[in-house]
Amino acid sequence: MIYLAIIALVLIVIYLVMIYNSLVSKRNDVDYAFGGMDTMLKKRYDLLPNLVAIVKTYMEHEKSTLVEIAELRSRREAPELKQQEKEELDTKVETAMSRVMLSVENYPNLKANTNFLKLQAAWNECEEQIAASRRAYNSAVTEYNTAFEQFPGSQFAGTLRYEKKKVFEIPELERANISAKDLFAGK
Amino acid sequence: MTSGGAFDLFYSEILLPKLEQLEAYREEIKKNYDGFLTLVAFGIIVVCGYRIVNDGTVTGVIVLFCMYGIPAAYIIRWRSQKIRDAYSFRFKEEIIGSIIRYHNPTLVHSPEKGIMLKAVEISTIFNDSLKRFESNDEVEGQLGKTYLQFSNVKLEHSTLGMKSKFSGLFLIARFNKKFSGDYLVISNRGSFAAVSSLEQTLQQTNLSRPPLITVENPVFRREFSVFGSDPIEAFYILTPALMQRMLDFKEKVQDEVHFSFSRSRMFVAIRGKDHIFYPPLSKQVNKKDLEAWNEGLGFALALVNDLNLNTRLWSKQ
Repeated sequence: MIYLAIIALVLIVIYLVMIYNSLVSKRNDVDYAFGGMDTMLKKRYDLLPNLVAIVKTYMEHEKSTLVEIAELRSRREAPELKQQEKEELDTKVETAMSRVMLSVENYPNLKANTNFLKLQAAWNECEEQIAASRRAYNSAVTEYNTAFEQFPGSQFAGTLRYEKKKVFEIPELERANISAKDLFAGK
Repeated sequence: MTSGGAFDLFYSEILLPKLEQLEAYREEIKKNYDGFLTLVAFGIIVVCGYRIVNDGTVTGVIVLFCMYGIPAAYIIRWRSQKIRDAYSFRFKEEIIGSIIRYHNPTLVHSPEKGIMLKAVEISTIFNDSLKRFESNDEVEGQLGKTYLQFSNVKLEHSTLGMKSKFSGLFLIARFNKKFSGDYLVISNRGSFAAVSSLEQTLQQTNLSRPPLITVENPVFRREFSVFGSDPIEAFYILTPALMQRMLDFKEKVQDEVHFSFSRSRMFVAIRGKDHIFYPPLSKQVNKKDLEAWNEGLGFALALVNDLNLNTRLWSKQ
């Protein structure tokens, strides 16, 4: 009888260790995915100087947008920025670059430029990778939050002082339907 | 895609004359084969009859029958296979080759060649040991910006200690994005969420596979299990648009379809679409058979458009 009790106890301990390890693993997955987002965003900012340099020799009417992009990039590099501020700057850069990419249609010489085409492909790839990293982050956060809220993970989470994480969300402004007319007008 | 009226015209103008010639060839070799069978049967009867007359024992006759009958059966089988292969080869060259060139004149059909075992192993769709591998009827060529290669494949593999057989089409296409990892998208057999969830749990116990990746599309999660080492790269490959296209493709196939992404290539295994180019010796091939084959072939070729592989917006052109 005592042997049965010992075996049951050992099994319970193993189970609890597995739950604990699972929570730790999911929390690390969230951190990894968050780091991935940062890496892709950095890659995007590294592409900006070359893109702006090529584009500004052709685009006479978008000089103000290009200057805005250069300023946003400089501000983003500041080390003391908070996470919220970084996300706001990222959104502004995305919006400004969308306007620039759309305006390329008005400059046939630019569209034919081989260097620009290569950079445009690299930019598209970068945007896809950013989107992928955000989706991966949301997936990791959802799994973590689910483990956090379900029993018995919820008991451990309290003990370890873990907190629920927020998924990546786009700003309210970006949820509105896009007007092509407004985009072309530079709004 | 060739279908309906266009195929009817192609059939009547191009295929029918060739089929008539082949039919004469089929009749001739079938006649020769029937003659061969008759000769062998007659030989056995003569020998057995001779021994019955001389020995007269039933046991002796049975032993005799086995002594001559078993080797005769092997000879018949060997000869039958030779004749079938000869007819099949000629049929594939003339008829199937015509259908393939009709879809796309740049495609190359090699009846004797097939996808190599190494390529199937790289895909890791059938992990663990692969046995009894055969492949034939390779078709390859450039469809727009995408290089595609496919063939019939038959193999045995073991998963979680259980032996399974696969018979169907195996395709390899150059994917439109660069990536470095290996990712598996395995079809779930259960169509209910609970069954798919159980299947995924069981598949996770297979330690030779990378970790399970949870994608956001619930329908995709029900139909497929995704495995890979880097979730970010997996999401980069499996965009919401591609996932929807893969679901639509599976719906079209109406059977198990598995995908794998490795070394910037996509591998697809479609169960059940095998022997699509295997003509019967015993009867004439009719238009309905050819329409089914044409559909199966179009199926494989449509993969490039169905999954939008010719879209090249990124650094891989």
